Amino acid sequence: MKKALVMLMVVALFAGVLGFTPVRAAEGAIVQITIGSTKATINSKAVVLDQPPLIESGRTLVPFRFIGEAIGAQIGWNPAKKSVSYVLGNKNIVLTIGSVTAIVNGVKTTLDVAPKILPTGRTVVPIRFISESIGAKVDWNATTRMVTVTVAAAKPSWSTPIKIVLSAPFTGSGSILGTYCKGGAQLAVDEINAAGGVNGAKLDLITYDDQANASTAATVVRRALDSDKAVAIFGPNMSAAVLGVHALAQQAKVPMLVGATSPSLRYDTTHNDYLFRLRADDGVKVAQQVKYIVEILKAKKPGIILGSDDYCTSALAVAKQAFEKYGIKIVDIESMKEGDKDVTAQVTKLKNAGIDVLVGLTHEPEAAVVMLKVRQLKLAVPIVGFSAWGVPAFTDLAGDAAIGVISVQGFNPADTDPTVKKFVDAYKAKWGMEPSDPAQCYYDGVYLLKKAIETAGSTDPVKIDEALKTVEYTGVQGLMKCDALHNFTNICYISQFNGKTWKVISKIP
Amino acid sequence: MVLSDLLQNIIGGVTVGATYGLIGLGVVFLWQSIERINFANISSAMLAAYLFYTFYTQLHLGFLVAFVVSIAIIAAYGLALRHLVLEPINRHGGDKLEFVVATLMLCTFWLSVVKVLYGGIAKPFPPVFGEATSFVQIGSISIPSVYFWIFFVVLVLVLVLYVLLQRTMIGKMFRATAQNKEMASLVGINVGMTTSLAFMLSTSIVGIAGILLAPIYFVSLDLGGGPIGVKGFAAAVMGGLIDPLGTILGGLSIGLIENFSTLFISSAYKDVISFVVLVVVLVWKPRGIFNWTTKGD
Repeated sequence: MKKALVMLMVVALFAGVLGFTPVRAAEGAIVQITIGSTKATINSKAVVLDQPPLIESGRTLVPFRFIGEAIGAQIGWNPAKKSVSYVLGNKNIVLTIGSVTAIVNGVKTTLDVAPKILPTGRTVVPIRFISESIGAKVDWNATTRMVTVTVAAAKPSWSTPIKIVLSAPFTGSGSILGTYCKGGAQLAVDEINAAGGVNGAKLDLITYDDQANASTAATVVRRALDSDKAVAIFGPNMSAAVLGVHALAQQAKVPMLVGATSPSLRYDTTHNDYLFRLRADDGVKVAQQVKYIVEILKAKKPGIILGSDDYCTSALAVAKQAFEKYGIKIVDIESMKEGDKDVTAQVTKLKNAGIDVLVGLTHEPEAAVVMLKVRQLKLAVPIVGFSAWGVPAFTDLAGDAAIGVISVQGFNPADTDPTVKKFVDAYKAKWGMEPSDPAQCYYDGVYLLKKAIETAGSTDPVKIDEALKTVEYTGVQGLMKCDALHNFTNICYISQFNGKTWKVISKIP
Repeated sequence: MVLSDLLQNIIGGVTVGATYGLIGLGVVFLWQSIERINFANISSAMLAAYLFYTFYTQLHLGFLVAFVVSIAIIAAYGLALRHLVLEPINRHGGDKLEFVVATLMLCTFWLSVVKVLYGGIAKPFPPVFGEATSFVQIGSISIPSVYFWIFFVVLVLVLVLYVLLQRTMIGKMFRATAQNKEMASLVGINVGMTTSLAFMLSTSIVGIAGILLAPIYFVSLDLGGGPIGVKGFAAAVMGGLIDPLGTILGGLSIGLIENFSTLFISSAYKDVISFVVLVVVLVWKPRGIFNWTTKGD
């Protein structure tokens, strides 16, 4: 009994070894054959055919085994059905002797000429059909009567899903932003997966709620690093949360791609090789805002209404500097606190100071409070607001009072650029709503990551990080390329609200 | 600075101040009857605004129905406060401090609940009190139409409360209960009923204030804490915690101080100045600067 068992195991072992046909990884090949000649070359190496290629009904037929081996496919022969099969990568072709019907990846296709058995006993198949079905390129030289088949080198293929994590606020003060972050990222992931993934591997997006809060974000990022083993992390989207967690990504050597916009996240401040930014930072936006006010509006006496937190005060610092460069003095700065609902005194003072443009550096609800008061007190000057003045969270609250407001925006869904339009349409179709900043930056971010993984040829986060510093990708936000500050883009829009949409005045750069 | 600027700022300050006064009324009502301070006082304003928003904008119930249902729920919530917060604390030997701590937690609790259910982004309030951009022009002064509603409701509420407290049996029962619970029950006053009524009235007043304030504050978390809550207390303190009229005047003076300190000094110091004034008033007149109601000790 024991002996029999051992015998069985030996047989099983041998059967395993014999039955295992190593699939040759196609490293790319150039196959050249000449009609009527047994001489052929594979990658410039001469080989001899046992049956010269022949032409029938305008199609070149070659021995079925030769072409299969030459392009590196796995070849099968079913004597009962008289069928020949080729498998290469994820392509599968089945042909039947004497039949013009072939099956490619389970789909029936009609051939111009059927495979056949020659009187010599050799089976021949149409070379162009086999090659093209497998994804190779076929060239025909009529003078030399030579056929060249070029098989491109197959990309390395990963079978396990590539895990990426998105940390975004779904509850708490920034909850609507989380919806946009996820909307953009998920759309890109679904598009990439539907098109075959990254080198054959699907992207797996895991989303967590960080409540726009630094301590919750830290929990989320630790989970992404320790238990999910994410190859890259998108978000957090709030600057304060990023400040609290980017060192974790640095320690774990995993790239972190964020849509947070505080200038304090620039590389010259963080010195974090693993932190990247996916949209224009606030410093860039304020500078553009001031440039527009001075160069286009020709304003000489700007007045500022200012919120009290870091977002507002760091914008003020940049605005002051920018105005100073033009030699323009800010005539009045009026402060308000987040949550303030009456700015009668502030707007009265700005009006009496004789300002010729009002610069809004506040958050969304305060912007609405200011605009209602501006309309009530009839402060009739151009209003140019910071990024919070260019989003629905402001215009919804301010209603008609927002008409005419000019804002510097990171994204404008009304942009007619075909790439932007394609993204906006796909987003609307998938989520039933219009995308808003920062949806576009996470959408671009996922594609950027795909390109980095492909360039690195690896899912090792350290190699991805290296690749992120060099790849270029043209997306919704135009050319995305990592600069010295680890910002991928500086794109912004100056737009004006007309009661329904934001009309693009200029797109920079 | 011209006269119209001054008038414009007085109107702004008075309106915002009246809202502080309304919130303060909720504090006064509870203190006057049961000598407790509900630190979740302001939550009623937020809850009522969100309830009204849900009934009116999302369920399309119509103004009157949405308003009445919202305030009824808020009144019931007041009753629940008595039975689920006040009574258990009393039963376990707790006193004023325990009630303060419990309601302080409750305020944060409601903020978190609303945040989870509605998200943190402020929502526009339906224009039931006129469009936000509709202004009444009087000479060179322009007044948003919602301001008239606020003045009107504050006036009516103060009158009703004044009559209720000073001229009716219920008012006498309230005052008697507050002064001496045992004596009150000895002379046949239903202390349980007056306590329940006090809670319900307190939350309802603040609830009405919440719906009234939503066009200015939006349907937002700002209605459930922060400056408006603190300034509501400040108004109540200026009224000695017991004088409704004094509370409204307290609110108005805070609103005016805020506006004029911005106008004549600096907007950056607005809150610093108003709170310094408050502290000075408290030290100088701890029983309230606008307290004309005598209260036997």
